[in-house]
Amino acid sequence: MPTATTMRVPDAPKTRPSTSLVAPPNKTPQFTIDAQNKSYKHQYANIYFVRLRLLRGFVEEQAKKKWNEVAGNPTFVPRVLDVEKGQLCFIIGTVYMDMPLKPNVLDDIARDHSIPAPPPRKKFNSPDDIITLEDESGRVCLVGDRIRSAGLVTGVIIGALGIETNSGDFEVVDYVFAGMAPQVSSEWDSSKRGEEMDIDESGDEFPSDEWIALVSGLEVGAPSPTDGELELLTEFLTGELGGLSEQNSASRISRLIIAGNSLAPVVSTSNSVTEEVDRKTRRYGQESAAFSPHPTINLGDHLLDIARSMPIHVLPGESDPSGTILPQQTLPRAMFGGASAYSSFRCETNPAYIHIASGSASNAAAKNGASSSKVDASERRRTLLVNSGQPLNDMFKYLDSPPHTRLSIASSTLHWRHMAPTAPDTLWCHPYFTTDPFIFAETPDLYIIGNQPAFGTKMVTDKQDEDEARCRIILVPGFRQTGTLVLVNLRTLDVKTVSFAAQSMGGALSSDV
Amino acid sequence: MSSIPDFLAKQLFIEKNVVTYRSLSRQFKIHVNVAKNELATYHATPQSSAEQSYATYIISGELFPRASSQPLSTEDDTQMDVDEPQEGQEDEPEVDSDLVPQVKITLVGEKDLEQAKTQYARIFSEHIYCLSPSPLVDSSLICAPSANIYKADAKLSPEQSILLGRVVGPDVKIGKVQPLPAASSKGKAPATTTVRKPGLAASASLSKVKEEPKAESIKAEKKADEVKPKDSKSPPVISKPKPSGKLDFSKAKAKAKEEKKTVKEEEPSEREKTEPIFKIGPPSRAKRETKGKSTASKKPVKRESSSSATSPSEPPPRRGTKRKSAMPIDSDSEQSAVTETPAPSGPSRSISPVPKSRGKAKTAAVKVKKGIVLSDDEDDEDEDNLKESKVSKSYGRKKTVIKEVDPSLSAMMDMDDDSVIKHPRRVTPPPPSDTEQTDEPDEDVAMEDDEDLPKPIPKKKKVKKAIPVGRNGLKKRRVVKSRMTTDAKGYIITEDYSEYESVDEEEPEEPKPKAKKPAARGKKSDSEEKSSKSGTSSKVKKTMSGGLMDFFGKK
Repeated sequence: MPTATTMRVPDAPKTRPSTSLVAPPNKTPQFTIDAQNKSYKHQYANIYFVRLRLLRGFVEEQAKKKWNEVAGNPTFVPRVLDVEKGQLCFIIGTVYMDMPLKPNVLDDIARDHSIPAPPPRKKFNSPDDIITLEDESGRVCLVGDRIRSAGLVTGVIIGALGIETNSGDFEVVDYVFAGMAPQVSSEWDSSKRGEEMDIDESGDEFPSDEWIALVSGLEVGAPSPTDGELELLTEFLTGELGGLSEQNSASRISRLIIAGNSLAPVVSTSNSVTEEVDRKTRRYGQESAAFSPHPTINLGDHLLDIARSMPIHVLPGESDPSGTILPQQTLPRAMFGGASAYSSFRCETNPAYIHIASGSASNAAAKNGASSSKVDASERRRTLLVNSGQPLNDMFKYLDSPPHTRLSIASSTLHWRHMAPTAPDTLWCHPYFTTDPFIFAETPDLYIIGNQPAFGTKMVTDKQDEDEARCRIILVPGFRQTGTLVLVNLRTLDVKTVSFAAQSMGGALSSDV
Repeated sequence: MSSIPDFLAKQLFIEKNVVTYRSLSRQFKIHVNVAKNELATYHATPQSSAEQSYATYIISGELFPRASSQPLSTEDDTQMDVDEPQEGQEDEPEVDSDLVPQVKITLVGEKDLEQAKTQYARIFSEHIYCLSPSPLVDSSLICAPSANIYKADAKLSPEQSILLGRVVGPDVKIGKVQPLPAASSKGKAPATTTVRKPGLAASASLSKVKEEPKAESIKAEKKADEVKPKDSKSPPVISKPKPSGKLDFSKAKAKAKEEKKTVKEEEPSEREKTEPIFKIGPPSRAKRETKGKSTASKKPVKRESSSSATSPSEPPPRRGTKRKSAMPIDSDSEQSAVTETPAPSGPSRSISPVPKSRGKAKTAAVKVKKGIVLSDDEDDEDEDNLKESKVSKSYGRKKTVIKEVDPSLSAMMDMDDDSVIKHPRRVTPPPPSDTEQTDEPDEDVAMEDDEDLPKPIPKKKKVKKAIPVGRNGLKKRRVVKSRMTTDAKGYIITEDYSEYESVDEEEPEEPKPKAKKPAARGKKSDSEEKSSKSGTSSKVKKTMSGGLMDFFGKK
C-alpha cells in the first residue's frame, strides 16, 4: 500500500500577485466592430490598398538600408510595371500566391453538386505555385529559388531586389520585409534577466513574480470529453490541487487567458458521416435532440470555479459560437452563467491586445507599488497579443511543413508586421475600409497563439538601429488534445507548462501503461 | 472530525459515491490539505474486505530532467535576414521551440501508482485524490461530486473559501465589467474599484438633480447602479409627459443653478464639498448611461455634466430656450441687485421677489436633502407660482402648459431684465410672458384666480426706467398693440399689450413729451389692460383709447 506523505496546511492563506489591466495606448488597434463600422458593403480591395500604403514606407526604408551598398546601385522603382528589363532594381508590393490548390470560389460554383465536396485540403502548396508581386499598377511574377524558399503567403508586403528577365518575370536576388514594429513597453526588469536563465528552473527564487496562465481548446462538450482533466485544471488553478509546491506555483498565477475553442464544435452526436448527407433535411427537424445546454453549463461551472480565484479573459475561437470572420467579437457574457457576475471575468475579441501592468490597481495608481517592487509601476507593463490560432492555421496551409514550422511562421508574421496577411484571401475577415487592424503597430511582449497542435515557444528579437524589439511567441496547444496549461512569467517572460493527464483510465488523454 | 470516517464509509459503501478531497473539504469545512490527509488516513486504516476502498492519486513532477539545466530562450537571434534559411527548424513545431520546464500532473489509480512514478524524473508531490468504492475506469468520474462542490462553493464567502485552501486573487471582483480607464498612468484604479464606489459616485452626481434617498441600502445601490440613474432620470419625464427634452433640461439647469445660488448664499463650504463630487460623478454616470440608455437621455446628461463642471462663477452655456443668455452670473447678481438696490419706484414691492427666491432657494436646499419625488413636486409648485405671475393669461389657463414653460423659470427671471432691454430692438411682438409686465398686481389677481404675486411689479418699474433710449440709438416710443391668440380651449382672445418701438429720426423733437408721457400712459395702459381683461367688450375701447393716447402724445 502506497503511503502518501501527510500534507501540511500552509500557515497563512496564500494570495495571488495582483496584476491590473491598463488601457491600451491610442495607436493600438481595436478589434471591436461597433455598429457604425459594421458594414459589409465595402470591397476587400481596400484592405490590400491600405495595407500596402501603410507598410510600403517601412519596407522601403529597410530596403534602402539593406541594399544601398549593393553593387550595381539598384534603384527603387515605385511601380512594379515600370521595371525595365535587365536593370537591377527593387520593387515593393503585395505578395499574391497563385496556387492551383487554393480554394477558389469559381471552382466551388462550377463543381458538380451531385458529388460531395472534396474535404478541405491540409495544404495548398504545390510545385505549380506562382509567386506574384502586385501594387496599384499591376502584377509581376517573382521567380528564383531565393523567393521560393522565403516562405511567403498571400498578402505580405515585401520589397524585392532583382532584374526583370526576358520572359517578363522578375528574378529575385534578395528581399526585405517591414521588420518588427517598435516595442513600446520594453523591459519589465531587464537587469535580472540574465541570471534568471540559470536559476529559473523551480522559479521559487522570485515568489513575487506574476505569472499568467494560458489555455486554449478546452472543447467542452467534445465527443471524447476530458472532463477529468478539466477538473484537475480547475483545481490546480484554484490552488487546491497537489502538494505545497503545486499550490505555491498556482498561487503565483494572477490571471487566466483562454485562447479560444472553449466549446467543442457542434457536431451531432450520432454518426457524423451520414449526418453530412442528410443534414439539410434535418436542419429544422429533430436536430434539437442533439443539442444540449450541457456543454455551456459545464464550461460555466468550471469558469465560475476559476473566476472565484482569478480574473479570466475568454477569447472566442473557431469552434465557439461566434462569428467566423476574423475579428471575432466577444462572446456574450450571459453564456457563462455565474462567472459573468464577476467584473474580473472578461470576454475579449478574437485577436485581442491585453495590456497588463503588475501590481494591484491601487498600487499602480499610487505609483509607489509599495507591496511588490522597486520598479515603477508604469514601467512594469506587458502587452499581450492573443489570438485563437486561425491566422496561423491558415498560413500554415500555404507552406511546406518540413522547412517551415508554425513557430517560424509566427515569427515571420512579426517581421512582416502583419499578423494575418492571408486575411481577405483565404482567411475570412471583416471588410475593413480605412484600416487594417492586423498590422502590428507595436511589437507585443507576448504573442500568444491558441489551439495549436503542440506547445512551442520562442523568443524573437529584431535589432533595428538602437532599439531592440523582442517578443516571446507562445503556441498554446489545445487542452483537449494535450491537457497542457502554459504558464508565463510576466517579469522574465519565462514559460513553463503544466499538463494534466489521467493514466490507465478511459479519458481521452489517458496513456496506456 | 471523528465523523469523517463514518461519512466516508457511508458515502463509499452505502451511496457508492466517489469522495474527492475537495468534496470532503466542502463537507466538513476543512482545508483541502487536511482533507487529503484524512482520505489517506482512512485509506490506510485497514478495513474489512467488504469495505475495500480504492484510492486514486495525483502525482506531480517533471518527466524529463532537461528543464533544470536548460537555459531558456536560446534562439534569441532570429535576425530578419530571412535568407538564412530556418534550418534549425526542420521537423516538428516543437523542435525549434525553446525548452521549458514541464510539470506533469497525473491522475492515477493506486494499482498503477508505482508504475506511473517511474516515468517521473522528479516528483514534486503526491497525494491521494479521491476514494472510490471501485477502481476508477474513467477520469470523468472524478467530476461526479462536482455538483455538490459547486453548490457548497456558492454558499461560501470568499473568506471562507480561502480558509478551505482556495487561493483568491486580489483582482477578483464581482460586478459589471468596467471599461478600462482612459488614463493609462493611473492604472486600473477606477475600473477595478469595487462596484460600490462607482455606485456612490453615481448617486452623488445624482444628488445634483435629485439626491437619492439615503435610506436606500448600499447593496441596492450596488445592484441598481445602472438602473438607478435611469430611475431618477425618468421621473421628470413621466410626471411631465409633455415637456420636450429641452424644457426638461432647462429645468434641471435652473434647478442646478438655484442650488448653486442657495449654496452660495448659505454655505460656501458645502458648495465646495459638493462641487468636486459633481465633477467626479457625471463621467461615471455618463459612462453608465451610454451603456444602458438611449441617446435621447444621453444628451441631457452630457449637458448637465458640462454645466456641473463649470464653476459657479461660470455661467451655464445655454438656457433651455434659444433666448439670449449672456448672463448667468449676471443674472444672479442682477437679481440680487434688484432685491438689494431698491427700485426707484417702490422698494416695498421690489422686496417681494427676494423672499420668493429665498423660498425657492430653501426648497432647493431641502430638495438636496430630501428624496426625489417630493422635491419634484415642490419644484413644480414653486415654478407654478413664479411662472404664473409672469406668464400671460392665455398660457395661464392651463396648468400643464404652465408647467412646461416653468422649468426655465429661473432663466426667465434672469431674462426679464434682459428682454426689457432687448425689446426696443425687436419690432416683433414680445413673447407672451413679457406682455404682462405692465400689468398691475391686483389686476393680475383679478384675472387669474390663482395668481397673487407682486412679483411682476418690480419688473414693471424697471421697465419704465429702461424705456427711453434703445440700444440701437434710436428713441423708443411706447405703442399699444392688440393681438389675437387662440387659447387652449380654442377661444380667440384679443389682448392689448404695449411695447416699445424705435422711432424714426424724422421726429427728433417728439421724444421729450414722450418721455414724460410714457409713465403716465403706462399707468393708463395698465388700467386699460385691466379693464380689457375683465371684459372683452371693453377691449375695443381700450385699443381705441390707446390709439388716442398715441395721437395725443404725438401732438
